[in-house]
Amino acid sequence: MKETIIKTSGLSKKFGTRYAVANVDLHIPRGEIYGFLGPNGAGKTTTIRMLLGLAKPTNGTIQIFGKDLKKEKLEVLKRVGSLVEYPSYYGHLTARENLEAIRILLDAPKTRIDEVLSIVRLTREAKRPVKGFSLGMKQRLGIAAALLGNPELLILDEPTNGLDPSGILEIRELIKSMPKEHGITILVSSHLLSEIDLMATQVGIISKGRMIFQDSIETLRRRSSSNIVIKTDEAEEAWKLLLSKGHNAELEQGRLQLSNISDHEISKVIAELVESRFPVYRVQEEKKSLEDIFLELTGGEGGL
Amino acid sequence: MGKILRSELLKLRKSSIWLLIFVSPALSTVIGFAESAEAPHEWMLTLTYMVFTHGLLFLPLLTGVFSAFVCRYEHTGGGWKQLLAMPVSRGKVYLAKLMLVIGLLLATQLLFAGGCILAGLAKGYEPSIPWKMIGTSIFGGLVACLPLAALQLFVSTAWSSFAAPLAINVIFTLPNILVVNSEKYGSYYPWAQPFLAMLPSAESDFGAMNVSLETLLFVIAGSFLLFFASGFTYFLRKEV
Ligand SMILES: Nc1ncnc2c1ncn2[C@@H]1O[C@H](COP(=O)(O)OP(=O)(O)O)[C@@H](O)[C@H]1O
Ligand SMILES: [Mg+2]
Repeated sequence: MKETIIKTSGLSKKFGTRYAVANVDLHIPRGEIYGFLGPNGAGKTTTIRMLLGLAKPTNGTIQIFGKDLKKEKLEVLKRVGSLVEYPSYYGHLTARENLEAIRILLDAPKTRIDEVLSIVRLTREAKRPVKGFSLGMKQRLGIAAALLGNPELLILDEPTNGLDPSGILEIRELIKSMPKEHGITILVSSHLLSEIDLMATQVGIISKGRMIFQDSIETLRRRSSSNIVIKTDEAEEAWKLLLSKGHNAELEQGRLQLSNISDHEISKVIAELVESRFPVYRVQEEKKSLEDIFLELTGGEGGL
Repeated sequence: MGKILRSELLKLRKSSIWLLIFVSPALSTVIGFAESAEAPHEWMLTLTYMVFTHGLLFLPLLTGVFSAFVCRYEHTGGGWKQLLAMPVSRGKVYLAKLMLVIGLLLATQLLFAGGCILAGLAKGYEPSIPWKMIGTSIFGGLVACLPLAALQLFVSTAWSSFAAPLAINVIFTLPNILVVNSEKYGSYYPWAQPFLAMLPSAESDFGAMNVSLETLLFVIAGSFLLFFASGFTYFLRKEV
């Protein structure tokens, strides 16, 4: 059993009369890339702000590194690097001065600034005031700042938001390399399933403030079982025939659907249809995408 | 605390706001030169002329500007959430910001004193430099600014707008012109205290300050404690 890095129980946050986060139980083991997935407004940022002590939970507890965040906040935060929502920066300072202002607080060695600048490939821009940076550069500076204190836990809230495809790729590769190279645990949020699919090892899906799925990405993928779809004439008659022969078929939009069916059984089904003179136009396999699973889990709420 | 102050100083030094410490002392010095002061109270008269614009308007206004500025670069770049997610205590961050404001005010006051001495020496005043009078004036002014700084820092941390806290400050400072003339209200109005404390008097009411002990205790210390405690507890709980 791997050590648990983040554990929340019953974590809730109320704004006015509405719960933005309701009863969330996060469980993040060491060394994982935990993809925190949910449509816009689902409560990802609010959850992350509570994990960092920026906002107070209305209810529930947070344990990070096995410590109660409420009691040992500074001890916990020493070992955490974070980037919340859009990147933070001081526009009137250069990239290096921005990092220096943080380095002083963290007591990190001066050489660490050069290291993180090169990790996010900003070494050449280090002497420019940050107000002239593109969003992607600010985002990379934010990640550099998060890495400055050699954190054991990295919390990144939508780190690829607003980046161009090459920037997204770059940050994704960076995130993927970190647990391997430095053994750190990463919580990364996104509203894009495709993105989480490409880098996460664990997934938590949040919708309207509630966790609706939390497990490994493989378990999520396993849910994408396949369907065999058959197109024929007089589908309803054909469907009745298959039912009478004891097949577990469904009729959907004038097509026959058989789920999780063996090769042997499908050949029998087709033979029976042909024998009864139903024309078989098309037999195709349809795999549910992660999107479909997500839509199923969220009860059809869009946004991904 | 030392770490936080060093980090804050780095952020402040690179912004151009600290250049504002020169504005009011320079202007007051020009006035000090221009107005003629007759013996035997030439030092006192010059200081009084200089205190009029500085203490009545600029010093209270600058207190608000400095407070707004040490918060501005946190508001605009999303600095609060980065800073407060660091392993630093919120209370110390707030104190460091307040100390920055006080430091800027102190620098302004020292420059003001320098300007007064410069004007006096240039005009060849006979008596030697009245250190005690000038010192009492500038340090009294600084102390009288503390409640204003505490209130302005409170408002500036609470509102991400830069203009709103300044507007509040102007609204409270402008009545100074009327209030200081009133025997009845002058000594109770916190925004008038920097001027009253800087105004030199022949017979100083109370040893180290140009305001009475009652005013110092109840108006200055009282309003400082009230504003500081409110701002401090607000900041400890602020959600960012
Ligand atoms: N400070 C706040 N005051 C009131 N409502 C808020 C506040 N912050 C977030 N919310 C609301 O909480 C919900 C979740 O927001 P958020 O956590 O930002 O979602 P996400 O990061 O998943 O897009 C949204 O409906 C949002 O409007
Ligand atoms: Mg968000």
